[in-house]
Amino acid sequence: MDSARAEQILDSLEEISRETRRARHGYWFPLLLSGLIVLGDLPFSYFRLGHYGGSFNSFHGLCLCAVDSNHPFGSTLYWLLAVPLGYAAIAAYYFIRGRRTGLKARIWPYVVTGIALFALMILTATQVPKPLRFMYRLDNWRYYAHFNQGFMPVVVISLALFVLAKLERSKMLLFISLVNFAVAVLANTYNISNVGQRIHWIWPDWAANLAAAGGFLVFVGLLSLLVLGLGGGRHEPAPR
Amino acid sequence: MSPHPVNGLDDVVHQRARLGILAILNETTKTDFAYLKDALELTDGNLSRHLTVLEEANLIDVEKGYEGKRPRTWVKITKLGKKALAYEVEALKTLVKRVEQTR
Repeated sequence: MDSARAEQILDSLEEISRETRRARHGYWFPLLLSGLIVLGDLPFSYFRLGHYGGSFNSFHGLCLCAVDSNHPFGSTLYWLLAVPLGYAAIAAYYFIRGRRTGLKARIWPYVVTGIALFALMILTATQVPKPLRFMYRLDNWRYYAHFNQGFMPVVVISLALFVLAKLERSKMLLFISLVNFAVAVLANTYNISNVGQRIHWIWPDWAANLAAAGGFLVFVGLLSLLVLGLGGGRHEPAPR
Repeated sequence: MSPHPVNGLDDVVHQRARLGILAILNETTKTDFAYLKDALELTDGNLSRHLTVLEEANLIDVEKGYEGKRPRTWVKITKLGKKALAYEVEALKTLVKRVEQTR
């Protein structure tokens, strides 16, 4: 065998691997669904659903945050239901997609990581009894204490995306995950509405933070859908 | 003198279509027979023969079953298959490098 032939075979293998990976990618769905789940908290927070009168600050539900905050109970219940159901929907999507395209890929490490991180996050919440509270001893850890906006589910979602990027073997998804993680940390530590005020766009703090975190995921989800397509269409054979 | 890299090429794996099959399987947990046929532009009979050779060498697992009333065949690469593919790619790269060095 000569080197030109060997080189040609290596190129073909690279091409066919890339084509298969591309046909297998379905990450637009978890991105879009996660974004919609984050945005779905907006009405719960806006209408203070589940808040039974009295001083808003005097009644919190299980605030999904590291330090005391004033989040309505309805919002907490929403996260407790939406996140696990979201992961179940993503697992179902990949299962159905695998059968339709003929390319099955591992998804359970992503789903298990997401749900495990979510469970861990619940154990950090301030309303959980102290003996059960995972982060109790670290409550005074000053960096963690800055996560006071109560949007820890957004961070959980962003961390699990790194696992998905590894499973999908996608550098693009890894890049998206890195940017999304930065947005999620920002949404938990900074009043993004401050930026809006400079351009006279007044939003409540929580709404601006949720809109930024969820809006980013919806945007990249839709963009990925445009680039990757719905999947399951006819596969174009690699040049040989 | 080190052995020529061509000696490192495995006859079972080296055949072009079989390399293609292993490359596709390496990217998924399971791949459908129809996808392999489409992607590699092989006939049913041809693909079946290649799969039999790879299965006999324990490089892949073939699962035949039904989805509803429709028969469906799923193919999976084994650990040995992954190793064989990596070894083959390495041998090809060594061959290319060796020729480039002698130029």
